[in-house]
Amino acid sequence: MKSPAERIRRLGELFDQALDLDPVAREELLEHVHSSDPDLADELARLIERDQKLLGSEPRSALGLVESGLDARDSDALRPGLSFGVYTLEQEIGQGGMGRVFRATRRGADFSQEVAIKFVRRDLVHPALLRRFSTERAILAALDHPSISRLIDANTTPDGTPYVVMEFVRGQAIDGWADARQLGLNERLALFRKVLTAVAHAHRNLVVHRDIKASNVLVSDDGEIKLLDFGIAKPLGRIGNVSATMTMDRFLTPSSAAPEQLVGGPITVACDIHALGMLLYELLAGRLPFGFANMTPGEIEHAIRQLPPPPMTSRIGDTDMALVQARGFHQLRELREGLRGDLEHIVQRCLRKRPSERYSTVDQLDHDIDCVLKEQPIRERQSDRWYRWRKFVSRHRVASALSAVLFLTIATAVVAILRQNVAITHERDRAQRAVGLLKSAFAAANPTEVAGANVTARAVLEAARPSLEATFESQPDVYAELAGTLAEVELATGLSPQASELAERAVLAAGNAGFSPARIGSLLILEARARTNAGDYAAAGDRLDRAAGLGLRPSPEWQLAMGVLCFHRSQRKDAIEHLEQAVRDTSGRPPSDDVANMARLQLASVLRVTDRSAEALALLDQTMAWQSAGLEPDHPRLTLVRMYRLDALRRVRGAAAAVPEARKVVEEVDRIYSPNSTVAAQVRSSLGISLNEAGKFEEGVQAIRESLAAWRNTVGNEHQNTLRTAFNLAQMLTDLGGHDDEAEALYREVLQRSELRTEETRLPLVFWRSYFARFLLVRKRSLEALKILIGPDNIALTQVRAAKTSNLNNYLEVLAEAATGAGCGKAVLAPEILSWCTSAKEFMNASPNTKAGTNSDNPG
Amino acid sequence: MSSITELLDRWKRGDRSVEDALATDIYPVLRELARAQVRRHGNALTLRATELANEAYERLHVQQGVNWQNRAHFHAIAATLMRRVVVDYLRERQAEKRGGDQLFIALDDMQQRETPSQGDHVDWLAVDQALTEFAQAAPDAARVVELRLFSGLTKEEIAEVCGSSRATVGRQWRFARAWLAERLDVVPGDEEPG
Repeated sequence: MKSPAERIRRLGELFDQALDLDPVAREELLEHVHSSDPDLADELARLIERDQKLLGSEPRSALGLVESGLDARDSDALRPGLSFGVYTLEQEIGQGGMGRVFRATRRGADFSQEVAIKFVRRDLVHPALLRRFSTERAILAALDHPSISRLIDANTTPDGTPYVVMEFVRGQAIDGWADARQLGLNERLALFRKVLTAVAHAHRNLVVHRDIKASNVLVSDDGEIKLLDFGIAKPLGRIGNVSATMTMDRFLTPSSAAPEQLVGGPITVACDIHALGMLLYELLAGRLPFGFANMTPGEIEHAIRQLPPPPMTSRIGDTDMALVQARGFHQLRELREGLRGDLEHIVQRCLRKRPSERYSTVDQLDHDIDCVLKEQPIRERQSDRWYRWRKFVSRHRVASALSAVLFLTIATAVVAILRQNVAITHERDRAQRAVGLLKSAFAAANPTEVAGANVTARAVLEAARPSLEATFESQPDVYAELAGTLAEVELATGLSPQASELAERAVLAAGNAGFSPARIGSLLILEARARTNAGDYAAAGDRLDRAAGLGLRPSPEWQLAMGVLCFHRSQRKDAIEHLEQAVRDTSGRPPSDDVANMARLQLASVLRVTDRSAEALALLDQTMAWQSAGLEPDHPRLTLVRMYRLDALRRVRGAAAAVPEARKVVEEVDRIYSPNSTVAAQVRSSLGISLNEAGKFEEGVQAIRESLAAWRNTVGNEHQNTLRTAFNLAQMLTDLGGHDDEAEALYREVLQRSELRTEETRLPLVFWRSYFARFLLVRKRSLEALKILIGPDNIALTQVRAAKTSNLNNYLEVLAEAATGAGCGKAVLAPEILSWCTSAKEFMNASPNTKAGTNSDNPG
Repeated sequence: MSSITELLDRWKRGDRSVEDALATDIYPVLRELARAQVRRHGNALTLRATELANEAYERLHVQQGVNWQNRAHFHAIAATLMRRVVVDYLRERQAEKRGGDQLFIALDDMQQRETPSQGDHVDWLAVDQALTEFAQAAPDAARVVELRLFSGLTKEEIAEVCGSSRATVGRQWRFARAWLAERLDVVPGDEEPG
């Protein structure tokens, strides 16, 4: 009998042979082997079968263990059996970013006690801090509560490793404990209130936990709560000169941190409230608000700081029956119903981004939960709709003290109408005028966001808000007017979907109030603009038709909105027609007029993209001259036009001439708007393109990088402007060379994110795909290129069918090349490329009206 | 020539007896860099072995004058060392039972899993043992596996380290993968006599 090694070698040779054979020949080979060595043949057959099953699989990575292993080697001294001082280590019970945890025995003169010892990784702690720790621990040790695991000692081992000794607790994490006992929602709330009692006790003793999470809240078998690690993060969390964010990274679980903890804000009771909200969310819904496990640290930070937590019901999938049963329900519907309403409001209030908007004490939170258990309404609920309003208005800070005063005056008036003191006509008129003032104040403040001017529009609306939504029924006229104004504000701040919704409600109210057709038409136009911006073109078209039906077609407002919609829909000829009409009809208006300005800027944009840049430039020069005559220097509107003019300037006079002007505009934008505004993002794009065209590639790339960062910060990672800019940056990096990794990461991000977007968009996905595939082809990565071109579930093919012919031809050309490069032309196809080749072939065959194809290398 | 350079050269020529000495020199550097990575990226991120080995080489080069003809080959010793770290670590903690997950994971599953590539529940000791056995018969293919599992290098880079072509590496990988999957699926105790 052969040795195992020889046998493996022989198998290897046969396996290698078999890979090259078609299935029939493979069978023959197996039979041939079988005749001399049946066992070997069987084994070979099994290996071939394994190979087929494993195609496209990847090995799991052991790298996480490498990390633990390297760490373990470091603290060789720490192992069960080790004794130091009065402690003997018994068993390692946990490991985390902070260090290792052991169960240990503490020996006294006449007792022996079970304790938990946390060893902190030495490299994470500053010596000065340890000294401070010893003073803090006195405070912590004084926290005497049956539900708080006591701090017994804190010191360093003889070799200098800091450690903390806590009371050892036997128990299970609260979420697992509750699931195991199938506790219903009310029982879970009752359990959670025990946690609140303990946290409230600590807060009264001026100790903040800072790291509340399920794994730190244990429940003993008899149902008693124990909170672990109280206050430990605090003394350990401040290290020398290291910034708070870095400290964060080391000590806290980022996914359980409050937004302000991530940016080094003050650590207060509000941090614990946020963490309690997370815990309650998880306890009730079975999941945290975000899928942190799949996110990078950057994404986690973004989610915690920026994204509103989705409702709990949305985190429960249709197949989550285990979750339903663990809460004592039989139907998914029952659980979802239980989570809606008051509970959702309570959780959301805990999770607000601003500390001041959360419950200010644990007792308040406890009170609301108590109300839910007693089936009484909670106070919180009434204000929630307003919370969302306030959120967008808060983004819209008022620029000057003057407007602040103006706002306060208006607020008084608005509150007056909303109080239904509208019987006296003149008072009502005054109030309506106030609304008009409010509108113009918003317009004046828009779109500047000047830091430091902290009297906000928010404050005004907050004063007015308790009654507005109530007026929808009782005073639809007031509602229509105010909602219209707010929709306008939302639109200006880029919140198009919200603006759409609000404008729609305003239209409804206006109808109920019996407004004139002209006023209803204006609101319809407003809604159409919002819907256009939100990408909902069909609805936008419908609203404009309705406005036209009310006789609004001749108005410049209607022409402008229609022109913009056509532009969005790539109907450029119609767009120009409508916009020219709007420009003509507003020629008599003052330079401060919105419609007059917007019509000119939009017309210039369409002219530019239709290769009529000279006309665009002339129009913008004329607009600037017209504005300069009527506006102060440094007026935001002048800056805006100057920025729009850059692209036209570059096309007409060349990049070299545009660069110095672009630099000046960047400076002006940063000064008048902010470096972190959409305007700043846009102007940097212009600068980058000019620099690039002028041959200053490195500088160009830098400008686009800054632009991308500004887009990400202002409109988010998913917005089409962000995606377009990311793609441009990737292209420029490719051309520049030497940045392949960065470029590839961007290409992939763009494709991945844009695939997720389902609404009607103008994203040139097919073009992007072809371009990235070309990038891969040049780098001899044909198969990857092929995969990109086809995409998951052949998604790309569906998109290509809807694409323009020029894009389609280009796409097919790249596809043919990738297919050939990947080896699809060979007689025998390797199994891992087979399905890709098949998809490619089917698609090429189904596109007969184009010239490219697998078999025609010489088109024409 | 620094002593590490000499050890590396001997290792490259096939002298496995120097691994312990190399480990003593290189582990501290790897450990320190691994921590720096964790600090930089947070705990949520899997260690990036390629980056780690690169930085370790850089560090040894600057601080200790380690100079080796080919940086790629440093990845090979780094992968061997990382494998040893994992095996030693798990052996010392036998009490903590691992295992239960398959070593290979289908692409479809990878999309859905919370942490796609983490192998915390793979029985790495069994993998190590099988790989050692495999190496007796097919040392080159075993090296490919070691690099795939413990280095984080791409297939192209592995081909470069092994001084072979991508196609060859691909075939060696397929055989090794099939063999390991078959081997690791065997019920414990049902082993062939040595």
